Amino acid sequence: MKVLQTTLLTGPYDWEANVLPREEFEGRLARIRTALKDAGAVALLVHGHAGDYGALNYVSAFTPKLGPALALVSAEGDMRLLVGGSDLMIPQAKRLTWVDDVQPFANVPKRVADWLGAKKGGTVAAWGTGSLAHGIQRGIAAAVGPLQPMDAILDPIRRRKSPRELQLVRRASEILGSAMSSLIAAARGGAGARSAALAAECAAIAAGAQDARTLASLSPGGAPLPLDGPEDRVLDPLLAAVAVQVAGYWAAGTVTVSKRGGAALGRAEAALAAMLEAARPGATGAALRQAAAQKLAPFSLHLALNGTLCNAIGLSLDEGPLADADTLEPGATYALRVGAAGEGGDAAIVSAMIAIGDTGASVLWTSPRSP
Amino acid sequence: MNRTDRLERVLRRMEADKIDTLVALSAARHSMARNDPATHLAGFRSLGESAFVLFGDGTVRLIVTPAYDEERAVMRRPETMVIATDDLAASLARVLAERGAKVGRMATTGLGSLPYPLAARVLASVGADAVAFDDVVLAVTAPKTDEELANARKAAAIAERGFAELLATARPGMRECDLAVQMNLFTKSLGADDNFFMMSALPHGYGVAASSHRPLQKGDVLVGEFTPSYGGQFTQICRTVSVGAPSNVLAEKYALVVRAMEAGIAAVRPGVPVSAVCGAIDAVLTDAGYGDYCRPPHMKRRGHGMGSGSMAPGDIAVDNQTPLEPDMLFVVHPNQYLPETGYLLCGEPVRVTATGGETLTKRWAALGSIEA
Repeated sequence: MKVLQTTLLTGPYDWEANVLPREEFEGRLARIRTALKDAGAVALLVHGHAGDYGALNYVSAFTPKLGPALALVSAEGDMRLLVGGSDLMIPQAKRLTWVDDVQPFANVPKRVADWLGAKKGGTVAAWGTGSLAHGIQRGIAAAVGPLQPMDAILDPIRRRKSPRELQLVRRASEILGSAMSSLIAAARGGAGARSAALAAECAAIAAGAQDARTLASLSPGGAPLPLDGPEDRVLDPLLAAVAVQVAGYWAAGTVTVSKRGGAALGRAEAALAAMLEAARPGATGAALRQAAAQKLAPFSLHLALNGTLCNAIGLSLDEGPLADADTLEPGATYALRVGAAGEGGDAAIVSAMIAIGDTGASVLWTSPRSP
Repeated sequence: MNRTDRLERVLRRMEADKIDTLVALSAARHSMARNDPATHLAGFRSLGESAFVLFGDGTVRLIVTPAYDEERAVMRRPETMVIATDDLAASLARVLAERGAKVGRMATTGLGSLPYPLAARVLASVGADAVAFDDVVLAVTAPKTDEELANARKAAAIAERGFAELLATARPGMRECDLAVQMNLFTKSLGADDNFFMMSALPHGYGVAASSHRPLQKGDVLVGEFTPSYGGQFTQICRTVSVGAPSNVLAEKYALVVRAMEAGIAAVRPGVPVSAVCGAIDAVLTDAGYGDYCRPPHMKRRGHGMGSGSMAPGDIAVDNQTPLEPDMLFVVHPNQYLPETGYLLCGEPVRVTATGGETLTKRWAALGSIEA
């Protein structure tokens, strides 16, 4: 689920030690530092921005509300955060993280070079820097040399959730259910797409969500898209996507609301049921796709899915798509979705949140079946 | 001014600089406080990275990602030829090749904001020697369009209603962040599509910050920048609220910063440099004995332009010599630390008219208070 980036995150983002204590982060950093040493790296730069800060938050608990931020992680032990905003904002920024050493992001190439100090010249690894702005990347590379991306090694470490993390994804999924119920009730009660989406956001916040994002069709059966205009049309079918965040962890889903039903919805629900049945540790993306395809035929896949039926989810809305050759990993949480598009606006998307255990999958949330 | 007029201004500069093709790029990091040239020229906030291509003959292409966002792009900009894709760089390369765009005659704007792997692919199409046109585009397109100004008026009305709602809702014990989220939901219910709502409270603050878990307490001075967006146009008002009855000194000093703001707004007229607006604010505060506080860290700037496309005319600051033009839009806010009270906010959105400045709000800043 891709959402329109908001200009300023305003919810509760202060680090709460009673939710994710420091030892949780120390465990993560120990695993990361082992990977750094295996790769021969002296340090790691972890990037995040307001639109995607999953890797940054994983190491620091920090949410970058104002511009980009970098965590500088030494292979040997020290750590520094460079965050957006002026010097005056540093005390506020420190509320968001367990990291003691927090400095402004301004003049970042020099700050990174200064921090590296004697380590400069060694291999500097990078995580989440694929979204680093060209202008900033160029400056850092000029100051400290090329960065070695380690996403392929570190992403799987992040995908495997701890018991605390799993609990937070479960809580987010519960709130997702409440939000979806409000959206469906509003739409069935005659609300327009915008009003129904707002009802979902209000319900999510009231239930304790840190953030809630919604997308909805602009035309009957259309892809769920940002509601950035004044229109508030009553649509049938209405396809709506909701994402809910709790203590950094996301749950996301899509529902189809239709009074007239439609063949596409029936096919989509059957396809989702088949995917859930196929979901287990080690199941491939291809197996899930095949399970869905058998039930969807002769409908084509809804364009809004962009060809992706499953992605890992957690501190990022998308912790990586499940490609055909990839397998569902024990300890990871996933968002599954499937949709069909037919003629004359007959379209549907349904979805589920699942957690993969050592022996099977548990469903954290699923789209309610059509009446 | 309409969007065609805006593009005409760019075309004239392209011709003067022998540029045949301008590629404006957006990283889709939409913000009130950052320039986004593709959004500015296209009038569309993309879901993923996007490009707006302006050819010397005046024809345009808007390339949006992901492909499924096509419906929204066409709905919002029916007059524009939209190309929806999942591979921005490849589609851009194809468009440039089809139109015979020549390396050496192309310019870019917004390239530095793109994720660097994408920027590298774009550079392969436009050429490493493509002219950076960022400053030029912002300079010649500083005035807002009629559509943006109409949206700014709606956003200003939403901001004022948001402030009234805050006065009705806020109470001691409420966490800043919970209040901020409630205000965002409220402004969204009024039609806002986003809100840069920076708000914090302390008995004696040194600035304004994004909201934290701190609960409001009696004796706090709450400062907030209400900045809803309507139709993609952000508009800001700045307000201050006493939690509990305000002290006499707080009321007195707030009246001073409001007078400073009024002086700044009175200085607004076409042809005057931006620095004159800042100077007028500083003069009032200096006359009151706060000359030493008219510089960082006691203040940052006396206002600024508002995106989400262009921040022109930039910061309202002593070193900004940009001459004001009709239909420029910016917030005038003294936003000043005073030793007796801490940081105080007051600010109004101002449009430059043919003869002066027009504030978009119905009621100017006055010190608010909530029961405690």
